[in-house]
Amino acid sequence: MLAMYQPNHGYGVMQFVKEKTKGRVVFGPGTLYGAIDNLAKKKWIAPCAPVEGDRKKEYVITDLGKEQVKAELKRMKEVYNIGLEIAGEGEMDNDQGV
Amino acid sequence: MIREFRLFLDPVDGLEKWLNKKAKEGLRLSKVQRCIYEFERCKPGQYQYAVDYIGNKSDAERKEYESLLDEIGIRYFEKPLNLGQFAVGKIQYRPYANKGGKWATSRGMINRELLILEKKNDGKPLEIYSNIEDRIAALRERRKPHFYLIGFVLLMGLYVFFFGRPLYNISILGTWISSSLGTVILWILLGVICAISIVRTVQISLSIKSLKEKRNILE
Repeated sequence: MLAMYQPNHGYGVMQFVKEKTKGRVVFGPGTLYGAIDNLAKKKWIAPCAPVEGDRKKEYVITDLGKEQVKAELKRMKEVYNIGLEIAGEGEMDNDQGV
Repeated sequence: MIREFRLFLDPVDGLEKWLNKKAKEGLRLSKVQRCIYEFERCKPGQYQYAVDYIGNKSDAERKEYESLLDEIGIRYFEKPLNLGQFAVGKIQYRPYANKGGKWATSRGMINRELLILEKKNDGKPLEIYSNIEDRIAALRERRKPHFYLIGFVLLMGLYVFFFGRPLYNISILGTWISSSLGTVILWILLGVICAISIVRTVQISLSIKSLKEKRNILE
């Protein structure tokens, strides 16, 4: 969904994820299709009006989608804070490469 | 050009393994016609193949999927796989399909149940599904038509068992088939199809189970 804050097509999403995870996560075509289809059905992303002469279908995040991203970030922050509480900040600094 | 006839007991994984073996030998798929595969020469290991089951998708979903494949530079071939569906003329009923895909027509989804994907070998495996959840979901979709096929054969068997006659008179196909030998052959054929389906269901279920175990360990 982060890849679709600007209108983006399937290939763009794939490249975005690959780039941001430094090649660690590469979406297979089935997974990519399934993800886009699911997000569109949930109305978290919506197809953009087709540009003439361009066959690629672009999607952009909806307001509902942005809310979901914020909620997920909040959840991740909570998990992160619990992690800090237990593992301690000092140790986290040493392990940043992990 | 090299042409080969081939049937697979496991039309998804079996076909995928075979095509990858051919690619390693320097053969690139150029055309698919039911069970006949045409190859052209290429550098050994230049291409990679993966087979995806899309029989559960609606026609619109298939088109979207294919245009996505075009976008990401994956070449594909459509291939038929007829399983667990009921046909009247050129319309098929697929009880296992997604919404909008239950009634398949010859213009849309019929004979396009499998997609063979091809990409240039870049050192990374061609994986259609990149996480365990998706792999489990895909296997479940592949298992569904087998359930319906087994169920259908069982129901037919029960009907004949209780009523002592087939659902409709098959003597229309010729007198031999209504003879006792014909009936026996028909039942053996149905039995074999059913047995293959049961074996495939068990195999797919075991794959799902091992993936679930892997997922639990990761969690």
